[in-house]
Amino acid sequence: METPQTPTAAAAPAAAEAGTPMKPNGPVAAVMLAAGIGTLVLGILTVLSEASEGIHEFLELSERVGPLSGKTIFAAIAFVVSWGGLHMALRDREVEWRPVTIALIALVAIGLVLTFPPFFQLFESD
Amino acid sequence: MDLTTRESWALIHGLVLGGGFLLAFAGGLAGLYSLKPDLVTEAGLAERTRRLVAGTTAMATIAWVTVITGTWVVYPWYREDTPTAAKSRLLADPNTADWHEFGMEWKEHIAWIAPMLATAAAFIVLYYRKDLIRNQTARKIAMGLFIAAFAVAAIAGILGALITKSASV
Repeated sequence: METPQTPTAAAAPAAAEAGTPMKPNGPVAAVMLAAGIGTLVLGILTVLSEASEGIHEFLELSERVGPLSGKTIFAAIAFVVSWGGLHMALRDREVEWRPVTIALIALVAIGLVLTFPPFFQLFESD
Repeated sequence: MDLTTRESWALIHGLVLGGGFLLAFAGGLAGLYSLKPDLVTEAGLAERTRRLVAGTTAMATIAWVTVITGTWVVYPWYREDTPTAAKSRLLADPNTADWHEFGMEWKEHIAWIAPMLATAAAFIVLYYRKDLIRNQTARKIAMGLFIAAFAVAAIAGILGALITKSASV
């Protein structure tokens, strides 16, 4: 996924033209992947909450809100923590846009499917 | 003409924040779309960047506030364990049960994807600022994230409006 400190092909001519180096895109890759991870975690927790009574109860962090409280809090935590971790790991790096974009699209697409009621209700426990 | 506390919060969640979200999206998208070297002068770029930062940051912030108020303020009223609660009324009638089984079940989850995508879009703009015009790949990715965030929020918003029409909190 990673290449050494070089601007992307698309950005390179413009950067050279402007005469100043382009900032590394690692921090941007980090937030893109974190958004995908947060979405995926939301989807996984939605299915697990439907499939298991124990997990359903575990996710009920607030009685008023129900299991949605746990699903959304843990998804938000996954987003923030993965963003922080990936940011630290990629902050000085230049990464290829394509695999990061594909990963983002895949993670969000899977998350969307997992949060679609006709899908996650297939796993409904009795 | 008086509004109850619940009606006021439903209004804030759906209309005030929803309207702000729409406004921020329109401004942000227009700014991102036209951020091309042949369309913007050096002087215009500074002004455009300020507006773009404001629009994308506002959209991300509004998205977070909308889902937090929706989940923690309005939703508990919707799902109260009483026969008069909106959820109970919808489920009591087979003709309206799908508004909960499909509509609300989808809305309450999908809405939370919007702030994460909007935050990613806003971060790209904040990170590159004026340099975004020199990185057209990043600009296109930010625009894609921005549109995806809006699409997801629009689904949730439309479902919310239709559910409220069938059974308000």
